[in-house]
Amino acid sequence: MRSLLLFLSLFVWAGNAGAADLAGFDAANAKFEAQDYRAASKSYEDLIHAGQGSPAVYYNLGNTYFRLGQKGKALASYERALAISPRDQDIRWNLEMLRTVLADRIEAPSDNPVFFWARKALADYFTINETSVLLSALLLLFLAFAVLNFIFPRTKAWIGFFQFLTAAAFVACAALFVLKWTDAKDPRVVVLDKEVYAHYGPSGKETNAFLLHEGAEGKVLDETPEWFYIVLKNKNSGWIPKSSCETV
Amino acid sequence: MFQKSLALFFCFMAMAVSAVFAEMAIETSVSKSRVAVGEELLLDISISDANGSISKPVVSSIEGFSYYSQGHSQEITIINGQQSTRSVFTYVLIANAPGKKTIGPFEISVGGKNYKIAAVQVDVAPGGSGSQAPPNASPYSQGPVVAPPPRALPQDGVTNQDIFVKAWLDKDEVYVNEPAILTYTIYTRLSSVYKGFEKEPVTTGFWVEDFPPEKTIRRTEQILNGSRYVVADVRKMALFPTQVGAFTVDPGTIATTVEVRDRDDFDSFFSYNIFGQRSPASSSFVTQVFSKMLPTQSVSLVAKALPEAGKPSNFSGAVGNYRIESSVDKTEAEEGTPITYRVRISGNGNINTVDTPSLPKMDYFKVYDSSSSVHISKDHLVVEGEKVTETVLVAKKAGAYTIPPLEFSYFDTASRSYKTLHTVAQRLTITSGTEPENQPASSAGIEPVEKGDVGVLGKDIRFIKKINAKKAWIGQPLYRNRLYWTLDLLLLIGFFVFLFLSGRRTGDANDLRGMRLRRSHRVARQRLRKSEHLLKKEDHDGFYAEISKALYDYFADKLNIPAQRVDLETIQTGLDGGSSSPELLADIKALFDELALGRFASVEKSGEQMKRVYGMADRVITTFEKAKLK
Repeated sequence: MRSLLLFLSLFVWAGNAGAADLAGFDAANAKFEAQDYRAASKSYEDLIHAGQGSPAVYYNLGNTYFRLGQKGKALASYERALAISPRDQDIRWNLEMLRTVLADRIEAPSDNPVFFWARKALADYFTINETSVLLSALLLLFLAFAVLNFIFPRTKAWIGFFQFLTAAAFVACAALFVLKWTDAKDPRVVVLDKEVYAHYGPSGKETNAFLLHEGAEGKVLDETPEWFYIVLKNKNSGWIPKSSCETV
Repeated sequence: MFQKSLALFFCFMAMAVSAVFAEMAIETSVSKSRVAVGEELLLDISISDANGSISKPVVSSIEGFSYYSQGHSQEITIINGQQSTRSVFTYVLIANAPGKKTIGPFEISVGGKNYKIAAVQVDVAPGGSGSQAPPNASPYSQGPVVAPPPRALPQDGVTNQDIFVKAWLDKDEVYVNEPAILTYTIYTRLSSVYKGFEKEPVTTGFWVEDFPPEKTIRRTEQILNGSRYVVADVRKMALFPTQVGAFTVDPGTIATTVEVRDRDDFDSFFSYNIFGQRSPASSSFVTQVFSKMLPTQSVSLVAKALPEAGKPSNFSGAVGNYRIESSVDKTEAEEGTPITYRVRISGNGNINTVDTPSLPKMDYFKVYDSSSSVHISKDHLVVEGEKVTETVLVAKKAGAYTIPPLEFSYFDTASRSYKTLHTVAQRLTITSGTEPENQPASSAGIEPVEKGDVGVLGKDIRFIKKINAKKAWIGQPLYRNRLYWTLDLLLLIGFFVFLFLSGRRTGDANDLRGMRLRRSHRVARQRLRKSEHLLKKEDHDGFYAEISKALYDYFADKLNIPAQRVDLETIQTGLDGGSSSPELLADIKALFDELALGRFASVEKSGEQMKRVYGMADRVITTFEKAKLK
């Protein structure tokens, strides 16, 4: 019972995180509509710095950067919005539009179709936090069944069936969680410079590995105070200066 | 030429010889004895069984008549070897002056001898049909215009007096859109053929309707300036002036061919075959064919504006004489089925340019494009016909409707005034349809439309969001929160704890032997207490029953066997065989005996005895509880 209260309090804590500054949001939108994109981007950024970041704010900021031609920053904003609100079709659409104008084509060499489907159908539709909550909820359900079992030793068939379902869901959810976690555990970066060379070491003197353009994405594996060691989807890795990119 | 003439000459000589014995007769006859001035009659001079060559009769002049020869025919008949010949000279006489006239007498030379031909009397009535001669055999035939055989032709060929064209209008002045008939007439004294227009007349400013040639070519004969002409209307056309003004039809040219014949009497004579029929072969044999271009005259026509007085407001320019009627193909129809509304305008005039009055706007019908067909007939040398306009109406809703009458105005050329006609109103009954998909939309229903793909016209990002509804859940993700994992761990531990607890309980419940063993002493003691109560009440039977049940159940539970199988032997085998075993077994045996005595022997039922049994049972259970089992 204590654990249940704890769990509920976690939700309450999550729900209360930040009450939206609607006036600031509307003002920023007005600037966007007046096509004053520079001022609009500043307003949206101010909102985010003030802890008012929401999917709508990130999405709108992404649109603003898109209009300003800053593809890298737009991509980072859309990715942030999507991470919070993965089922928003507007964000997906704009992200897709943005990706059509990016210079680099970085594709995973070959993806397991089952893995690909799981990612596409499930992983992309839930945030990692949602997956986490789901996992906890299933654990709670397990506990409830155990308690039921203890109180009423003579178990009925349908309870057994539900126990089986719960177990299956738990396995699926755990797999999903691992999938999300492998994606989320490493920070990601988006290249903001028009062009940046990735080197074989954390220095400009090192040999050039490959050339990245604005909007290219990579996972951070290591870092120095000045450099990120990133790996691309196609498994190429190299060091890029921190100044040329932004973590999502 | 000479050889042919010679051959024919011998032929005639032979005929003359063979007919020499027959008696010759000369007769004169006229086709009618009474004629009017300008009319013609035929004069036949026939010579039967002439015994010698016949020369042409000498016809000097016939008083009061103009005349020409129509030819000479000859018949030879042989019946039973008897040969008879008959030679006929035919003349056409046209009466010039009224009165009693004597035709003849004439002279003819047969076989070198001169014979007198008797005169005939003819009455010539004045006037009659004027100069118009009755038409020849087939006035409507389309064949060439055949002139009578020419008389003395001028040596210098064909003059304009021999053949010419007249163009004439039936009216000099018409209203706009009122027809004037233009006719081209050929006058000829020669055998000629009309070949059509070489150059069309220029008819600018007119709507022209040509009449078909078979209806127009009409041959008559006329006397013009004392000469007999064959007259043929070769072309007729109706001219509809399209605007006000004076117009001129510029001249065209008509092509003809003209036969010009030699003057030679002999050839002229033989241009007719022996049976009196004209043959084309013999004709071409002795004639020459020329083509001749005949210029037509120009004609002028004045087109007047229609009078403004009394012009109806809906007048749309129709001139002539018309009728209008409307009809529907059905007066009852289902909702959604088409009804054809037909307006028919017929009459004389330029029907092509007549506008059918349009239907007024009808809210209860869908009106589909109307089609119109025009049929023009020129059979009676007037332009007439009908224009049928069909409009398809589809009723939108069931009910009774009326198509209002249509108003049509025209300028009547006969009465020189405007006339307005009305059609009758058409009443329609529309019943509600049976097929729902045919039901037209009403304000209360839905009309399905044909689906089309929504195509993407251009690509751009979607617009910013105006609603900041979703509250942010930013900050450290849950999986990095220690509290979250602690909670999950607690849940998991709780789950396993309960799993373990309930599992143990379930395991115990399943161990029946252990359960019986555990409860055996407690249950036995409960029964003993109960028997003690019965002892105090001195319930002898109840006491023994209870104490027996307590003991037997106790041993059954202890040894995990059914109560029925409990006896000394099974207890002995169940015991481990320790030090106390023989005494305990003896005690148990003594107790079983006492119990059997107490339950089944009815002698001793004293309280003392019962107390003793109770004490024994208590002692046995206590001892047995300590004893070791296998």
